[in-house]
Amino acid sequence: MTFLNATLLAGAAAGGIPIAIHLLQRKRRKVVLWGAMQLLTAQTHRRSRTLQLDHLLLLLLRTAIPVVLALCMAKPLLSGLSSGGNSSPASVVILLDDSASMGDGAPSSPLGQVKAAAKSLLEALPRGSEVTVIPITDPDAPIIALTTDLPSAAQKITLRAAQPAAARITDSLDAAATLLSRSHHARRHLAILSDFQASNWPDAAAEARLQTLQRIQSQTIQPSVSILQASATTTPNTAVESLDFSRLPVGPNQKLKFVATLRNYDTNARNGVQVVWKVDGHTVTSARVDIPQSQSTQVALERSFTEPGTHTVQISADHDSLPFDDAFTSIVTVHQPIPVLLVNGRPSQEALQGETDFLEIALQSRTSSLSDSASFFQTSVVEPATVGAQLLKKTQIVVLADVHTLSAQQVRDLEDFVRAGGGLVYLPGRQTDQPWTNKALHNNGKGLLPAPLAAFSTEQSAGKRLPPTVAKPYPRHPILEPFQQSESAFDELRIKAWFSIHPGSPVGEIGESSAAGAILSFDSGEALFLEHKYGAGTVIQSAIPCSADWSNLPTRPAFVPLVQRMVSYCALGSNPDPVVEAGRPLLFQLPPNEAGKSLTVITPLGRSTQAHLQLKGAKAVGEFTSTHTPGIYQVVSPEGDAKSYAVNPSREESDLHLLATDAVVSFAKTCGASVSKSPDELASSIQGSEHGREIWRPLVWATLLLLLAEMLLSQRFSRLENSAK
Amino acid sequence: MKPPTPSGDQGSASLAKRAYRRILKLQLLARHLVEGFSTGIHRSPQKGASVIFKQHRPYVSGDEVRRIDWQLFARSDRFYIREFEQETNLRATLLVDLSGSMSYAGARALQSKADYARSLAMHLATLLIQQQDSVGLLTFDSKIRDHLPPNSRPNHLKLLAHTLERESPSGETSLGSVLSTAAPKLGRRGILILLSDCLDHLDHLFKAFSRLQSQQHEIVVFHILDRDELEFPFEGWTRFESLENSADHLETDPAALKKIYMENLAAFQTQLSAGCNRQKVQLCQAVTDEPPEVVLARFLVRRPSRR
Repeated sequence: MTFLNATLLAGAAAGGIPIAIHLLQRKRRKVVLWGAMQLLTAQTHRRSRTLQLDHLLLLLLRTAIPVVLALCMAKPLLSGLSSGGNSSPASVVILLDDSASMGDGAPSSPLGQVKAAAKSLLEALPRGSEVTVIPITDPDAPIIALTTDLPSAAQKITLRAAQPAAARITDSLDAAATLLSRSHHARRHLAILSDFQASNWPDAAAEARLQTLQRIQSQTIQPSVSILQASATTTPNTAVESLDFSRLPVGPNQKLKFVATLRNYDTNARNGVQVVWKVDGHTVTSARVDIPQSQSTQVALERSFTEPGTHTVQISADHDSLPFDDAFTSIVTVHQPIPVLLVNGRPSQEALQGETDFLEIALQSRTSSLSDSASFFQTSVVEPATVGAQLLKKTQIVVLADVHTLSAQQVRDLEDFVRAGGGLVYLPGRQTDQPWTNKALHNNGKGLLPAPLAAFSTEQSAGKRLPPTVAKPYPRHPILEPFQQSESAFDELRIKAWFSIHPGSPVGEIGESSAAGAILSFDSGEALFLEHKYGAGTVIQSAIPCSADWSNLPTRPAFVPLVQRMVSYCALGSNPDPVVEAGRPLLFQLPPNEAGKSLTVITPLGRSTQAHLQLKGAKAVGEFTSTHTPGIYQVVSPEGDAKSYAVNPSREESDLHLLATDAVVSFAKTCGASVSKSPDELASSIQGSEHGREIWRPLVWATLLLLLAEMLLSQRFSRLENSAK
Repeated sequence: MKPPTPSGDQGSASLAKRAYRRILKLQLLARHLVEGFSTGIHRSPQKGASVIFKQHRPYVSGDEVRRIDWQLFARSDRFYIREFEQETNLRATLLVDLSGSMSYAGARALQSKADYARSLAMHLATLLIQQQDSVGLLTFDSKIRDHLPPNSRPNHLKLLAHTLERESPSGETSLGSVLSTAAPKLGRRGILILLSDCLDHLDHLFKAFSRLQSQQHEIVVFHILDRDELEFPFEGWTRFESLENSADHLETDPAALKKIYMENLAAFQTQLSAGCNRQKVQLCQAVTDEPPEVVLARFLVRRPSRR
């Protein structure tokens, strides 16, 4: 015997209450030392014995009532008995595939087929059955939460349209397992209605699926499972797979290169596909491209923006059978010029002898051989003694170049500055006080620097060691994007002196710092540049200064783009991506003083919703989760500043190839499911499932009888006592 | 003379004193006629030599010649015997039940039944000795505990009080057998005053009464009960444990048994009353929530004259 609501068995403990009362009263009974025992005759003894038996019977009844009631509420199930045929109600969970690949919902489309199957299943269910319909694209938001109103459920299924999102098979199975374990009936059934698109069933997720299936199969009352694979004809599909551009901050009039990837999922080449570029809603150019069979091709657009703010860039291709993936929209944020504070620890009257001289030139350079980008840095050079909270308020990036020491207050101000989202670039030098730096700025991993300055080496002191050379291949890092193709940008870099800094130094997740990661390393394993997150800000630590004393880096062609990208990267901070996949939340991050306020989110359908900002760390953060509609979302701050966010449909649904029948059958075997080929077959599959018989009804009657008996016996006692008096 | 009290405490002494004064007023002596040995203030039904002439009667063979009224013989030429009223003292024995059941004292009782019996006994003894009658004492449970032969000396009261005081109620009751056993010790005819709850086999008791009456004893019974025993006011689950036999107990809901108990009590009282009437035993009901002197006064008022 098993129980459908085993937790309610705890209610049986209430049976102890009458016993406790009885024992308490027994303990409280009076004892009378009595003289006239002669008058308490045999008749009274007999009567007393009868009374005791009656009281015992009443006690048993009163104890039995809560126990039987608890048993009844726990819904016991006798597995040895038949369920009583198909008339007994069932608990059914339907996983309905409403992903983008399911088509437009026409009766012949896969979506139309699974909707018809779901409705026919509901019609076959006996009265009192309960049903939950989970959309595979969003298992956390059931189309129909647990209900016994089957006609209404069928109506809601009819209205369901395909969603611009990918199927989440494992999550859906997991949600179904949870719901089935909480079902109320002994007959339990899981129906999986899908087109079984191959891309939704990756081999990589097989283990996770298996574990979820085992959760379902190991339930006390194992549900029966049936599968219906909607038939679909694979149609040619071309998708705009992605739209990439540099994520580093850009300024007004700075050129950006957009690269769109178009993929042809068909086995035949597609020629002359028209591609249209739109910027801020206006068509700027169009082209025709040929895409080889089962391959992708790229198209590019270079564009600059005059106005700071957010701009939309969209690329669209010719419509085909799956229109949702024929366009891709991105958001470009054009920033105001970035103020950079260069803290020069060793100023010099002579040209290019100061520690920040090369830096200043590089950041003010308006052209770069690698990026062709206009500079948008506003540099100012100060001495270390002037660094303070007031000065830091006016800047976005701080570069510490060969700074000997700073006061404790200056260090605290710098920490607050980075924690709030500022960027810091640390460059050592001849004046660097190594012990102070390690103690004050690294602070055993709790400070600003990602790694302590270890040994100082020079070409001479290195002895037999060769001068350090930059390791290849270069890591994939936004700063190094311009250098990825040539892989020779740092070949002629010659370093004469350097501090050893090691990636992954014992920093760990201490305090608010993240682990140190190397941007660029030497062959020896030491890092040339390290980075880590400190609060909401970014810190980059260099092993060498940006002066010509220790290396020839400032004179290399890579120096200007490297420095510009490094500083830009620090300015990027940890702002959330303004482009998300449908169904994923839009995240907002504002200064902490905005906490408690609300942002107005205007959806592509024109609806306005409020998103509340809460203080989290050193930022005010908020999110908007109803992003099921692809398009441009306008987010307006309380001050009236508007920013654009883009929501694109998932590309996981673009490949319309289905799982082979063998694979579906194999999956069905794994979960002991029956494979149905038609809605009628699906409906009949549930009717054959038996799991045992619930015996709560007889227990309800037993409870009522016990209550009646208790009432009658109590009344009898009352009458007897009255007559005795 | 101050009436002694069994308990000897101040409250009881005061009570006994008040009772004693009240009882004196009742002129017990004027109402009763008992026979006795010594010259007392009770008139005796036995006629004998005395100063108070009663009557003449014809001489019969066997009469003492010295009792012939020779003056009347001279006038009538017939032999008459002169009879005189002879005043005797009372020979009373107090039979006090000190069995376990007598130790019961309900919530409304002034004292336990045993203490109540002691009080009554001392009041009676004081009264009787005050009027120069002899008072004896016999205490018992299932057997005789103490026996003091009747004596009319004033300091006998102290002995009575001491004897009553040193005995505490315990043991089972066996009224019939005890009285039968005591009969030879009680000597010539007198008055036997039984102070008991009579919770025993009444048949045995009545047989003992018959035997005692055959010895020319007059029997008075003070039937002492507690108000609880008359009304059975208990409620809630209760365990009744016998005061006489620890093995005897009953656990029950007394409210459910009250009816049966009251029927049993009524039958018991009817049987006791009928038996006493039949055997001409004076029965006086005493309830322990009444002051003993009230009971005593009621007894004296109702006591029939034997003149």
